[in-house]
Amino acid sequence: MKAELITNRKGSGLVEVIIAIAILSLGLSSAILLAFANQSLKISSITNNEALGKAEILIEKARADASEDFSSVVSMSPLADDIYMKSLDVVDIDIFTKEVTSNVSWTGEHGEALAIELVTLLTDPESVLGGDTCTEEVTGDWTNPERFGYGDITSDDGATGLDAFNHRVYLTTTPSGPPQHDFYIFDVSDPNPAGPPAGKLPILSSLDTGYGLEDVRVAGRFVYVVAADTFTVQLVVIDAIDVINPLVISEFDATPVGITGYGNTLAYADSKVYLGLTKSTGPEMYVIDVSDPLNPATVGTLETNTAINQIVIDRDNDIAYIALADPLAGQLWKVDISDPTNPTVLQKFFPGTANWVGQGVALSKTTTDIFLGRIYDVGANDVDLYALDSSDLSATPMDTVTQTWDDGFSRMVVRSGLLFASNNQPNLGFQVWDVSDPTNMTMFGSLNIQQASTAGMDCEGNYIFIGQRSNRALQIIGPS
Amino acid sequence: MLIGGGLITAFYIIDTSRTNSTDINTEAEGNFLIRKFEWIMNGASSAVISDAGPSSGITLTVVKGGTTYVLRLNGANLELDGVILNSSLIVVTTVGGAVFTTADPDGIKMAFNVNGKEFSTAKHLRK
Repeated sequence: MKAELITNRKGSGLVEVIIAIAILSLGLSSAILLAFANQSLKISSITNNEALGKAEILIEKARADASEDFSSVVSMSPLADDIYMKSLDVVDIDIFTKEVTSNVSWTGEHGEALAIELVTLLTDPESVLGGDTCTEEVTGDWTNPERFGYGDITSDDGATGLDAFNHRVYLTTTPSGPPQHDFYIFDVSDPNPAGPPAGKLPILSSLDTGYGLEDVRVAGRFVYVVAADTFTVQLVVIDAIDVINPLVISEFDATPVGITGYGNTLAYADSKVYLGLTKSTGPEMYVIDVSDPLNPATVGTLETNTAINQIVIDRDNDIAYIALADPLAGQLWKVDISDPTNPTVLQKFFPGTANWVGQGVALSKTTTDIFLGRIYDVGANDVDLYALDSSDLSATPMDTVTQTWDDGFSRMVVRSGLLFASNNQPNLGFQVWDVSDPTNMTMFGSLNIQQASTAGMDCEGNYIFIGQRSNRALQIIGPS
Repeated sequence: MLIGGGLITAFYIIDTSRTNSTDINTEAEGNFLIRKFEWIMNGASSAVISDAGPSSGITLTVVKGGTTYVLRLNGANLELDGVILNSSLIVVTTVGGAVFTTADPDGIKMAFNVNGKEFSTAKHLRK
């Protein structure tokens, strides 16, 4: 019996050893796997942190670029950075808002695709308060620009000035007599309404200030307009928070009693209106503090001794560029406005001929190029467009354009190396010039608009808004 | 053999834990220094890198809310107004001889090594 038991237990020791080895091996394998998993977790956490840092830097840079120049914030193609691919996606929510997404992607340890995505909204407070709502980026085919919507007004005297702002166009006119209205607000949220009648833009409201108006600028809810043909009022402030019922809230006489000169043009920047007059017995430019729109106050003046036809403000550098009528006084002035109580002339451009009038000025956002447009006055045919270097107006012009007596550049906008201009020529009232090489300006596109345009022109988004003579006062132009 | 295997595994696990712990500390220290830099730069009105002498590229003077802050790499330590920010367990060194470089537009890039691992970020002045 005993011998039988011993025989039955043969080999059980070996089985126990094998089981022990198996259990131990399992334990060791688990411990090793755990150690490797820890390692993976650590590496994953470190790469994740690094990617997050890179995504934050992209967003931070976009935010900084937006505060410098909102229109410069555009999408960025994927770019390799070590093991990461970085990209930035920018979507325009509206004129004043962009949605910015920074993406950082990489491949994980086991070949899996990993990514960090940060999203933020960037806004443009400068534009909301009277800045330029024109996009720098041009889209579509501008070699063949097309007419889009149009706006009719009661008066057949046409537009004197306009400002496109947040899907509305604010337009001024000088009707030959009351009770015709001299201020209109058009809804241009649909730039080419189906109608009927096709293309006709709805008028949201209009009013009669009683003066006839020469020009307009919008800053938030307030609209600043220039009163025409009166020595007693030059600036009128309209509250347009209710676009259906805009209200005149203040009228301002910038000139002292006895001083002649009518309101002619204006610019707005940083709670200041820069008002330009026709030739006056006193100063022609007035810097008016409108931080309290109910009580505008003159803080500085500048004597030009000739009519001011357009003022363009370079906010980044506190410089005003002024287009003036008289060539002998210099037709483009560069004025330091860092101290608004004492505007100081830095440089003047003298065209050297006495026939044509300085009418418009356009400043590139991306280069130091500046363009002076002129219209015919008296005498022989002459240059109607100059390309100049804003950093040195005394330098020889980089290029000039001379067309016919009927031509003449009045208002211009520069975007992505293209100059969009309203022209006096009846059959070629809208012109596009390629100025990417300012030493060799070439005609890029043109459009025969219905009536020759006057002083009003602006840009919003990808569209150009032109003020025209006669009662078809507003014409929208876009790419084909 | 089994005992040997067990010992090797135990050593490996302990060594990995120690390395992990060091790396996590390094990461935490680096991120802490980055957050300090971001705090100083948030709302700053000016930020100037010393551009001459031995403090060039390693000293940043920031004015924020009327108060001046100086962030400086002193030896192996990053100091804020003379107070050491990092622990004594780590060594902070420059990247390419500098900690602070200018960033466009109008900002500062900060890059440094903590125990040989590089950290970097950039902040721009809000106008």
